[in-house]
Amino acid sequence: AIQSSRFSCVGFPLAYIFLACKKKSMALKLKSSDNKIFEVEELVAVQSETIKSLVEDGCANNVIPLPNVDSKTLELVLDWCKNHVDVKLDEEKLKEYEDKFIEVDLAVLYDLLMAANYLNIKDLLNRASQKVADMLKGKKPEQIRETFNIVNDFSPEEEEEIRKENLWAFEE
Amino acid sequence: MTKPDMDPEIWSRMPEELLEKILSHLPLKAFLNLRSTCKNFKSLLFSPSFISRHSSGSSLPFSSFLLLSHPQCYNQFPLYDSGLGAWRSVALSYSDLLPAASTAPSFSLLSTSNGLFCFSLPSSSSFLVCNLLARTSRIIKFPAFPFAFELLTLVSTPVGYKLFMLSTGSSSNFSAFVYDSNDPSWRKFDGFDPILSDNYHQEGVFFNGRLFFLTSEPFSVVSFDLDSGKWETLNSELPGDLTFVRLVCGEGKLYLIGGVGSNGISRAIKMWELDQARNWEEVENMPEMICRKFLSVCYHNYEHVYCFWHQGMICVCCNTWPEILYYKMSRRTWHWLPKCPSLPVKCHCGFRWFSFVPALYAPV
Repeated sequence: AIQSSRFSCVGFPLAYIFLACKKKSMALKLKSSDNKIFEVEELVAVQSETIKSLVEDGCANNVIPLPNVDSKTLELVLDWCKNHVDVKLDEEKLKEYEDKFIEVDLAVLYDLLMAANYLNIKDLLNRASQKVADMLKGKKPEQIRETFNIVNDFSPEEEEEIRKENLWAFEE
Repeated sequence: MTKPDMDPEIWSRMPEELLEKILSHLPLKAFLNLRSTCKNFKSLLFSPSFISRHSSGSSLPFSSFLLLSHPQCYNQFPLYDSGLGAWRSVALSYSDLLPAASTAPSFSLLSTSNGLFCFSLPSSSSFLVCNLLARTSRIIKFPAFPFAFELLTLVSTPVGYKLFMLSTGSSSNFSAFVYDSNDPSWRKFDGFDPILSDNYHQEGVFFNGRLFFLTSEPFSVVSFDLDSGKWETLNSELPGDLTFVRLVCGEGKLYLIGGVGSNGISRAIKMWELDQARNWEEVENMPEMICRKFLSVCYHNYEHVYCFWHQGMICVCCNTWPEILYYKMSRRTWHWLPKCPSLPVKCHCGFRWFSFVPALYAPV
């Protein structure tokens, strides 16, 4: 009987501490590459698989440094995440938001893509990739090489050969 | 609308794996146009992420074609784009086929299934199965030598394909030979004694895992199980007064197309569907004018007539006539396919038509 009462005595504060910790971890601090601190709800931040695994490993007690994302981009990314937490948001509204969100300057789009990749946010990465893919449509191999600084490792004969391949399939 | 320029200063810093991810978001056809960018791009097409993204695509990335093989279209296969309803100006040429094919002195197209073609290469005693779009191929040695075969049928499945044929081999009895691309080996089964067909242009018809054939008169429908090698006769009573009859399978249904008449002269051409109760139910009676033209085209020599399914159409062909007669399922209407413009005005017999639905990832 004594033992059990002792347990219940100890049990109460333990549970209390646990709850307090849980409550405290609801907000995470993220530090951008230009040393700005963003305080965000855990639910918002863990849409990033990268941050989620940090939280799960218990490495998210202090400030989480994100040396690959600047504050301007991080702000946008967190806005995306906030709008994707609320699953009640109807699909039409969400799509409207996404379409508007992705209509950005090409330099910003590049930063978003890199941030989404680094933070591993699947839906943002897909949406940004699709946006870039849409811009690549109709471009010629020479333009692609120039844009992405890709070396043409085909001989002119080889290139011509590939171009001729399946010509029948491409005629409109 | 002009697209804004992508500044190389920025975009050339992009890591390779991210660029690959972006490329996988391109429609397949748009990406194929970029294959010649560099060797890496070319190999991407067969990377696991591309295959998983595009092989289950709901919409067809390419047009589908009716392909003509004719002795006077030397080295070429004219293509009719059945989606656009027009002949392509670029025919499929032998140089599009594979090196293995172009060095062979003689080869002939025998059967197609989805994106796969099966040729015979008699000089090297083998078959060639290839996917033209993917430019992949496999040489399959004949199971015996010498090897004479008939009713060769290629059946492609999502995971591979099978080749079926009948052969007399060295004995006088027919045997069935089946090649399984996943095994990969030949299996020999019993043949079927009554002569299957007086028509060597008509392939077996794949339906519910079995290949269906018609016997010569008295007509009956028999089927062959591609796995067990067992033959079976379909016990459904065939329509009466048939002068000739062909089988077609499409959208999970089995159809009969045949002439109705007496003494080898047809008065009408009709179509029947095998219903749930396994009875042949009449579904179509060819309009008289079209029927009359078709019958005059084949001079009542029905052994030249063969049928196949292509993208919601039943194609009724005559080996001696340059036009295809086709029935559009959705509209229940009959049409003549215009003659291929690259054929000479006077041309010989030997019109072999095939359904060609390009499938990049159909494995050989």
